[in-house]
Amino acid sequence: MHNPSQSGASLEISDLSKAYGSFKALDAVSLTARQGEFLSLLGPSGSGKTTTLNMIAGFTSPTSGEIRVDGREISTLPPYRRDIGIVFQHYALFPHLTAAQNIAFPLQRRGMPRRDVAVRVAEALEMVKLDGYGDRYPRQLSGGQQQRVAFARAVVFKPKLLLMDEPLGALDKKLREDLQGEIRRIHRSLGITFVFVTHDQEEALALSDRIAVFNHGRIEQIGTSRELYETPATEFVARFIGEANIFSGTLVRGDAGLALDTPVGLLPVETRLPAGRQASLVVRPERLEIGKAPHAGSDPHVPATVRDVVYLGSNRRIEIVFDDGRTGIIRGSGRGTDVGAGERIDIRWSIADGYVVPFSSSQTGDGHGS
Amino acid sequence: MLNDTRLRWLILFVPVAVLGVFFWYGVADSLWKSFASPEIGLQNYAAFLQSPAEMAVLRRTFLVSIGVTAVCLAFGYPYAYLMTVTTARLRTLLMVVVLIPFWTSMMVRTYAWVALLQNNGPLDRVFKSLGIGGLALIGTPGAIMIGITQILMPFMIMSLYANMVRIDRRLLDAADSLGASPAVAFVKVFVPMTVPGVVAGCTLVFVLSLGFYLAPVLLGSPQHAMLSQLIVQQVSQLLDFGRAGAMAGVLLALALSVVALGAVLARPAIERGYGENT
Repeated sequence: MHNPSQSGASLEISDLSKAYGSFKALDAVSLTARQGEFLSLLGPSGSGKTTTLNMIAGFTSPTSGEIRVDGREISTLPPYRRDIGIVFQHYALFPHLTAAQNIAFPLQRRGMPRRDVAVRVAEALEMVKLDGYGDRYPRQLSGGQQQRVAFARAVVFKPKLLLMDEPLGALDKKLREDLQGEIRRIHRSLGITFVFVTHDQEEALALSDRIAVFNHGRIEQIGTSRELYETPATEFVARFIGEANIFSGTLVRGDAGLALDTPVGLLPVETRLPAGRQASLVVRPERLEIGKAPHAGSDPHVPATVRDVVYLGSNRRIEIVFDDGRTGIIRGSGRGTDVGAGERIDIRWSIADGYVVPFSSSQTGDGHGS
Repeated sequence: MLNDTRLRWLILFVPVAVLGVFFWYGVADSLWKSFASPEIGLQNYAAFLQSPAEMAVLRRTFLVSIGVTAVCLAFGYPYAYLMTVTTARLRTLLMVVVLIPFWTSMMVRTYAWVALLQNNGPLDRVFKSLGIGGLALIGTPGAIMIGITQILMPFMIMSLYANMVRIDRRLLDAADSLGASPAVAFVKVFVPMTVPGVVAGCTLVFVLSLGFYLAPVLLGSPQHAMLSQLIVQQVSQLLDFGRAGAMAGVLLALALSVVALGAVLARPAIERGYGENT
């Protein structure tokens, strides 16, 4: 139909801020989305991701900063001149119009001849697998079907940029996963740039080319799912993306190199941060190994007590308590994980599997996005 | 303990009994007399419908009610809309401005209009000072309309406001994002969604104004009588209960058909989930 590389717009946000009185909803945020990219804005509620989306859409005006689409500054344009598709959180379908009339709405606003409108509406309904549902009113459609109509309506006028505000939030898990697959499929076939707001880290990981993690009105990190998971920039990102075992302390230089001096012992680390800095060590649950006796080699290891074991089929999720009272998680399979609640174990990991992030005192309590 | 069903019937019994004795009985008696007094037959209806003078009164009643409804809608719609978009403080003020007259006696308000509209009254003098003479409204259908409109306006505004306040503003944002300017979004999205409120308000105002008695008596004149005045005349001066019953019956039929029409017009909205089920 068209060349994907030409149908997406680039999005460039620089130093975007929004203040409500003395409260900074968004504090000098900069980010870019490449043409055709799938970028997620991920963060807990109140982190500034929806504010950012509303400013791109034009519903909220920035206190300062710039928003450029394909190099063109748009912050002064009213929303109806921005030509940006938006899928709203609760769909915002017009209840007095049928599915087909809803999808035709943006085409009619652009003065498209009636016959062309009918063709495009039919194509859009087919794209979201709702052929035959055009005459139904939103009330007569299921949540998932309404979501599809909202999606079709937002892309039928071929915008170069599509914004989605928690579009799957109101749906159940199974349906959400189905629709995730379809959103990916449609993203690939349309080639337009997607900006997807969500508080669900699994959803963001599954869908996005890159993710911008928001916290307290700022971006903590922008990167691919893998970068965020394996090399988080901050403790917040480490906690928000996936699960993490986190040890905090001061970096010290010992005989065998750098180590982190923590309440549970001296843990060897590899990092570019200098000795003397406060830092946190992040180790992902699947990187941990369980030993029955204290480790004799040079790898970092910590004693712990098993609190609970959850059997999940392909693996086990083991909750542990370290000697300083903090909790941790191990995921794994096989004989090594055959432990019981209350058992004393020694957990260890390869030094390369630990990742050190600078210590930060401000953390959001809402650490596990789900 | 009473079981649920019996308790429900008991609770229902009191209002039904009160309505039955003081309302339904009266209506039924009037209707019965319209067919049975002085003898069984349709002669009361025939006489009413064949009297050109009385038909003129019915037509005037209908037209004044239409006029009142139109004026209430024309002023009430923007007023209610303003209430939904303004600040909380101004909204409270607008609400109070509507409700204070609503709590004032209808009699007092109608007499106030008599004072305002009478010959050589304030309004008449303003007109005269502007060089427009002989425009005293008292005794005309215009005066009746003003009096009824002022009293029924709160019903229209409240019906519209109740509907408008429930419209999801994100729908207007959605229209905006899809290329509709605010004016187009208003016409294509907001107005269609207020149909249930418009229908409810118009039905209420029209039906109530059909039976208005005080305003026509005080602000109108015998030459411009409304049907309610004719009915009172039949009952209190001519003692023709059958004829009065026939007039009341026609008025009731008119009111019921308007309510039925309203139900038909509001039905799509209810089915599509943005109208109140009544």
